[in-house]
Formats: sequence, C-alpha cells, structure tokens
Amino acid sequence: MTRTPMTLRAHLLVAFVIVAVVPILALSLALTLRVARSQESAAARRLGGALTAVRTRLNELRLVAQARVSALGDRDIPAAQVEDEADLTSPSVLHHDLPIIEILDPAGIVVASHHWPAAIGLPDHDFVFSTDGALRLQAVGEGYAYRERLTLTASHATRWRNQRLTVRGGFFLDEDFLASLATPLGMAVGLRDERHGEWRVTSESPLAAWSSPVLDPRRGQVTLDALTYRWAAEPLEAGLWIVVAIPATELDDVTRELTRLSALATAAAVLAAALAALWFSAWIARPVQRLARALPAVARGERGDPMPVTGAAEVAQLAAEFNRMTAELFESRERLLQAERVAAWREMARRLAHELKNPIFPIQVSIETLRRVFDRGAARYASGEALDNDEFGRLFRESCDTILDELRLLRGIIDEFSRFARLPQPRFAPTDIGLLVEQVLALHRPGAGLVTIETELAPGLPPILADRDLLSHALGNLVANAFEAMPDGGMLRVRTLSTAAGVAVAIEDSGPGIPEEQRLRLFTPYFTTKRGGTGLGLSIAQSIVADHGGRIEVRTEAGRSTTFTLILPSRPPAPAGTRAADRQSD
Amino acid sequence: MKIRAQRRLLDGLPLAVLSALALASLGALGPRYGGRLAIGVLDLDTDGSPSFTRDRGARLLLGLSHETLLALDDAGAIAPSLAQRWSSAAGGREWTLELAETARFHADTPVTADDVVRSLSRFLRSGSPAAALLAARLEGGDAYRRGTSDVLAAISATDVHRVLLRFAAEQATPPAELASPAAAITSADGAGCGPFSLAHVVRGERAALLAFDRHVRGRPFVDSVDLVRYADRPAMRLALEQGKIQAALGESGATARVARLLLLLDTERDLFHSLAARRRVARGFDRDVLVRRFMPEAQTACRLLPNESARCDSPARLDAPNTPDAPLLLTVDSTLNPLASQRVVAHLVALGYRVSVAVLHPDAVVSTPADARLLLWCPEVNESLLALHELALLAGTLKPQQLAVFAAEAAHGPHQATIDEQERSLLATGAVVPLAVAPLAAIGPTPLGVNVTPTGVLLLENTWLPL
Repeated sequence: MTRTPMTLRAHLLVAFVIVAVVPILALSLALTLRVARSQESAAARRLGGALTAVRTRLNELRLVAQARVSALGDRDIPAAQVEDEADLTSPSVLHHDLPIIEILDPAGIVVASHHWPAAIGLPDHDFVFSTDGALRLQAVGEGYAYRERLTLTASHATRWRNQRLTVRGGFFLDEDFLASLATPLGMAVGLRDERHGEWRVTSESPLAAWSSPVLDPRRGQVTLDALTYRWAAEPLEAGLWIVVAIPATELDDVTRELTRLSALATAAAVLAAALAALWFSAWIARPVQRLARALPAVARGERGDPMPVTGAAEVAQLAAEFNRMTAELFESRERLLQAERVAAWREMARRLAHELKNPIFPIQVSIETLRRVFDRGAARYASGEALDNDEFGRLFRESCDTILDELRLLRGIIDEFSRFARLPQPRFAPTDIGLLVEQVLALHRPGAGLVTIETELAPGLPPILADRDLLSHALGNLVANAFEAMPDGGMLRVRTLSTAAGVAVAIEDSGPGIPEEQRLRLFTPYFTTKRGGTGLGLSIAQSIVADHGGRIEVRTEAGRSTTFTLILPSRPPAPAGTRAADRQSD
Repeated sequence: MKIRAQRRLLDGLPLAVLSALALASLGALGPRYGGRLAIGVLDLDTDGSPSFTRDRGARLLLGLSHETLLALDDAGAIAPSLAQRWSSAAGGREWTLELAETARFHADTPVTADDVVRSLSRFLRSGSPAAALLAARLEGGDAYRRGTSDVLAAISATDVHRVLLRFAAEQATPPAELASPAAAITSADGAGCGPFSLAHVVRGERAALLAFDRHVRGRPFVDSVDLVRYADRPAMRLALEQGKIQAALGESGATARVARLLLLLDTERDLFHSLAARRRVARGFDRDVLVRRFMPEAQTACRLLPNESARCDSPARLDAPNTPDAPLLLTVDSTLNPLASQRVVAHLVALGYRVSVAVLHPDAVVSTPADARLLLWCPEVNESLLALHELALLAGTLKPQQLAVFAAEAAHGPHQATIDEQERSLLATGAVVPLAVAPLAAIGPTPLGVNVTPTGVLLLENTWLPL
C-alpha cells in the first residue's frame, strides 16, 4: 500500500502550528511552574511554622506539667489531710489545674486517680509512647466505660504518711489541646497514632476522614471530602506523628486559572496558526496548483492561457519560466509539425513520383514502340516496302491495352490520394458496433477467398456515437488488410468487447505477423510492403479512429497472428481544433 | 430437710420500708383512701400483657395490674392469692387449687377455673425460666411446652372454682412457679385482676393505673399510680428531688437490697471458654472497692443467694495479662449505676482486655451475643431453687441431669444442702460472678407505704389497710 504524500498546504499547516504553539506552550509552562513553585514554597513555610508552633506548645505544656506535679509531690500531697489515700486526688484536697492526675504506689498500683477513679487499686495500664513516659494513652472514665485519651504528663516522687508514692499529672493532647492551638484560619492540626491506627483530632477536623495516611514522606497532598490539602508531618515519638494540613488556597486557584488560560491561549494560537497557515499556504500554493493543473493540458497539447506572473518573486519566476517553457515547447512543436509536414510532402512527392513513374514507363515504352514501329513502317512505306499491317495492328492493340491499363492504374492512384486528402468531418450518431461489424464483414465476405471468418460479438453492447460510413471504411480497410496478409488462406477472427470507456473491435488474422521494424511504421501514410498498395489504408483507418477519440493497438506474434484492436469511446471528445485546422489546411 | 425454716434462710430480705418516722406518722393519722403515686422507671418495655421480662418497669406494671394464683412471702414461703385453699391427692401427685369466690377481673367478670387453665397453658409456653421448671414437673408438661403436643391434661378445671394439677411425681407443696408474674391469670379478652386496672399504657414512655375496687384483697389504698419512664438516671433523680415522682425504680436509695449485680461470662465464646480464664476474672475482683467507692448503698456479694454470714475472700493479685488487648464485648444493664460499670470495666482492662461496652435494656443484655454481661438481677420468683435454676439458665450451664435435680428438689421441697451444693456448683463454673447486692429503688417523701419486693416489684405496703 502506497502512502499518499502530504500536500504542500498540509506541510505548511503543520509547520505553522508548530511554530505558533511551541513558544506559547513553553511560556505558559514556565509561568505555571514558576507560580506553582512559589506557592509550594509559601505552603511549606506555613506548614513548617505550624509544626514548630505545635512543638513549642507541647514544650510549654511539658514545663507547666512538670512544675505543677513537682509542687504537688513536694508540698501538697505530703501535707494532705485525708483518711483514705484514694481521696488524695480529690479537687477538695489538691488544688491543681491538671485534668490528668493520679497517684501510684511503688508496685505501679493506682492509689488515687482524678481522671479514672475506677482504676483505684488496679495496676496502671497506660500505653506509653515515649521513653520518658510523658506521652501516653490514658483511660478516662466516660459513661459506662472509659475512653483512651492521649496525654502529656510529668511524674514526681512524693510521700504520704510514710508511703513512697509517685504522682503523675498532665494535660490531654487530643481535642482540648488541638482546639487550644492558635493555628492560622483553615489549618487542620492532628495527632496520628500509628500504633492503633487512630487520629487524635477535633470533631470537625478534615483529617479524621484520612483513613490510611502514609506519613513517611513527611509532606504531600491529599484530597479529603473533595477538598485538596497540602500536609506536613513529623514524628513526635515512635508511632505518634504531628500532622498539619492546609486546604488549597487562592494561590492554587490562581495556578489553576493560569493553567486554564495557558490551555486557552495554546488553543487560540493553534486556531490562529491554522487559519494563517491556510491563507498563507493558499497564497503560496495557488500558483503551484495552477501550474500543476496546466501541466496535463500542456501534455495533451493544449496551450491554454499563460500563467499569471504574480505572487512571491520565486513563484512569479516559476510562472514566467513555465510560460516561457510552454511557449518554447509549442514553438518547437510547431517547427516539428512543419518539418513533419515538409517531410510528409516530400514523402508524398516521392511516392507520387514513384507511383506515377511506374505506370508512365510502360506507357512511354508502348508509345515509343508504336512510334518506332510506325516510323519503321513509314520508312518502308517510303521505300516502297510493303507494310505488315497485321503486325502493326497487333502491336498497336497491345500498346493501347498497356497504355489503358497503366492509365487506369494512374487513376486509381490519384483517386486514392484524392480520398485521403478529402476525408470528411465525421457526423456522429448512435451506432450499434456489433451490427456495423456484421455489415462490414458481409460486404467483404465475397473477397475472403480461402480465409475463414469467425465472429465473437459481445451481446448487449451499448451504442456509441460514431460516423457509420467512416467507421465502416476503417473497419473495411483493416479487414482487407487482414485478407491480404493471408494470401494462402487462414482464419480471420473478429470480436467486439466492452471496455470501461466504450467498446473495442479486435480483428485478428492468422497471417505471418509483422516484423518489428515494419510495425513501428504501420500507420505512416504511403508506407506499404505490398505491390500496388498505396500505404494509405491503415493511415486512413487510424485517422478515422482518432477522429472518434479512439486509438488502434497492434499486437503481433511472428509466424502466428496479428491483431488490430480499435478502441472507441462511447462518446467522442470535442473536435480538436488544431487537428481539424491541420487537416483543413492540408 | 425440707422444712419451711430452710426457706427462711433464703434471703427474703424484707424490703426496706419508708422511714420509720414517716410510717409512724401514717399510723398516727390512720389509713385512708386517696392519693396519687408517681413512680419513675428507666425501662417500660411492655404493653401490659403478662410475660417474662427483666425490665423492672414492666415487672412493676405487671405486678400492679395482674394477680397470680399463689404468692410468696418475704421468706419465700407459699401464700394464698387468687387461690385461697389447696389440697393434694394421689400421694401428692394431684393438687387441687380452690379460687377465691370474690376474685373478679377488671371487666367485672368472675375469675373462673377455665381462666386459670387458659392462663397457665399460656404461661407454660412462655420464656419464663419458672415455666420451664414447672413444665418439667407436670405430667406431659414438657411435650406441651416444646409444642410437640397441644394437649395439656395436667391442668384441668374440676368445677368453676377448682383447678386440678397433675404431676409426674409426688409434690410436697403447690408449685412456687405459679407465683411468677408471667403466670398471672387473665380473662379470655386479656383483662387482669390485679389491684390496679390499666387505664392506658404508652410502651416505653408511661402508664396510668387506677385502683380496682373489687380486687380479691380489697381496694388499694391509693387512687392511682402513674409510671413515667426517664431516659437516664440524672433526669429521674432530679424528678425525685423535685417531688415530681415519689419513687424511682432503679435508683439507689434507702430501700431493700434486692438486686444482685452479676458479671456473666459466656462459656460459649472463645474468650471465656476455658475455666481458667473465667476464674482469673472472678478471683481478682475487689468487691470492697466496688461497694465502698462506687456503690455505697450496696453490699459485697460473693454468693448467688442471700446469705448474711457469707464473707468474701480477699481478691487475688491480678496476673500479668495473657492476651494483652484482647477485644472483649461487655453488655451492661442500662439501669446500672455507670460508675459501677466503670469499675468492672477497669478490672477487665487491668486483666489485659480491650473492652467495648454496649449499654442495653436488661432483656437485651442477656439476649445480645457478648463475651460478658453485667446485669442487675432480680429472681423471677423469690424462691431459692427457682432462682438458682434461673441463674443456671442465664449462665448457659444448665445440664439435663441438673434440671432433673432441680425438678426433684422442687417436688419434695428443696433441701438446704442441695441448694448450697447447686449454688457452689454454679459458682464453680466461673460463669456467674456475684459482685454486689444493690438497692433497687429510691423512695422520696410520701405518706404512702412503698417498698420493693425481692423480685424487684415495687410494693405499696399499705394498699389493703382497712379504713
């Protein structure tokens, strides 16, 4: 399968689009990347600042917890006046502002607990995150059970009634702590407990919807509830992360708008480039296309109008060159035609001379013989010899016969030349080619002699526009030609065929074939290999077929056959002015 | 030994009465009709039809609006109610109960033996543990209860006021199971014959009852009783303090200690399939701390049945958790004090369990699949053997041979030794862990005599005092 090459206009279109789009695209990309990078940088600064703020707040809480727990352990608990140690954490006994406070014995048994009194007398069972025990999950009594809450605590040794005890106190790190943080508007802060796969966030925090966060990269983007967030994280302790997140800001909207505008600009550039390319390529290609259209006409021999010498210099030069070349081509052709005409006349003169010379010579000889015999008789008569009238008479008749024969031959030659010169303009009419072939064969069948005629006429051939008389003349010439090629008899096969453009008639003889050097000159006027032939039969046939817009093809096999095929269109072309003019001038 | 004195060993625990001062004042004034009593409840899941339920509000409503053939006194002894007399024949295999001729339904139709037969037939097919034991003792009772037979020849009416009960074996006394609220006698159209007639009931919200003039024991003292359900304890306590209600059922108060706080461990679940796991939970529980700090009105309980002499052992030191953070689902009675629940949860957490709690209606606490259950339990019938039978059913440890023992003991009158043995046996399974005996109701200032029965039913003590 061959690929159709791109047209010049297509090439120009592609080139224009590329040239127009690439710079705009590059500019848009560069601008978008620049804005996005600066936005990333701003977001990173905000997130980093938030993380630092959380850490700072945690350190403050740690210090506060340490100070208060130390005060309790050193001063308040030893001085507490209660009967039951379980009451040590009662707000009425210890004045503290710690939501988490519990007292443990050296065995780790909870002696008193403010946040989960139910644990009194039971082993402490907190989950501890940090190595120093400051960050832990502590059970806090709630309803019929408890809730594990993340706490930041400090511990301090104490004594009560000679018992060595430890007081532990601190703050919640979940909702209360997170709600107390002064974070920028819209920023979400959360603590992620990786050990238990839980979030410690405020109730309205979007982070709660983040089901399986992967925090290892420490920063990234995530979409929660159809809103995109930039987030950053850092580990507080093993398995416990601080996570901060900010929603997509106005700057994100600007970036999106910029990207959208870039896309629009690129699309507009593509459209504009395409339109410009179409106009420009039309401007460039139109003269070339005119040239391309004119070339086949020139090839057909139609000179047409000269190309307008307009447009770009190169294109104008091309048109001028084309006009010059066409002019030279037609002048050259004209000279060639004139030379051919001269040559034809010369050939004709030579043939005429040759043909006329042949009969003239017997006439001359006969007349000279008669004159010599007459002179010899006159001399005898003058010398008184007796005349042999019988011999003279016989000679006279023979000479007269000869002269008359040669004169008939001369007339025939002259008629033939005259017919060739006077071929009429065809008068087209719908013609059944099969019927015409049968009529021609019927006319020539008596002269077939030993030749057998065979026909294969295709049924239902459409009528063609043709001049019946001229076409029968051409067919007759070809049939007669075939008969002459088979003087000892043979087979003449005549077939009619349907072609894409019309019909064809093939006339095949079983003669000896035509040598190659003769085949090339078959249709040259006055070319003949036969004694007494004018060499005009095939020329006339070709001329007639050409006037019908057709052609004659010859296929020959040496020693076997020769086939002349007349290929005729169903409708002849418009009369070719030049040829008609040529013939009229002839 | 099957003497009545043994029954008295059951902690019939007379239910606390109102303050002596208030009663003395009432006595001085003399009884008189009139007044409206409003009682707050935490549950009221009933439409008023007799059925077995652990819903204490429903039990109160049923107790007020219905009457049973027999009653049990505070000591657990059988007492007359609708049935005034009884006699036995065929060596104790047949018992005839004779109805009081004055007994009438709220629709003012007489209570007949046919009503008794129909009501007891319904009772035998109910979800009541007492019905299961009675069916095991009656001739053909099991087949009828299981539905394989629709003929119940064991209960029949011999005339309008006499009902004949036939047992598979000889019986020493009439069946105490007939005192179950689920065995209440109703008319063909569902009317009761209790001291109060049900004026209207909105399930789960409120009920109104009016004194029934023709009750078998006479007209109640008060004119009407309203039951109002509250969503939680604080709201009910506030209503009590404001005088909107005169009694609060399920709230701690100066009343009889009749409810037993039990921790039930499900032996069919993986977590407590092994006896060792169950014993580990039971041994280490510090009941003193529970009662002292979280249930100050309660007393420790290490027995399933009341026994004042029983003292609890010191709790064992808690082992290190075998399976730390093993998930445990605990269903908790919604009428329980939340702090008590927190203490039990803390104990389980200290043992290494990661506890999830579902707070449910008392009936759902038992029926919902869970690893453990925390329940304030009142026996269906205030009789030791029936109570143990009910507990064995609750714990899911009742075996066929054990059921036969229960049936035999119920027939002949239970031996104390047998009761003790069954109780020890049940405790040894570790499936039922008694924790405390808790008060069930709080009574506010009221001239009306109000108390709570051992089965958790609020009793209006002076309902039938004559003018």
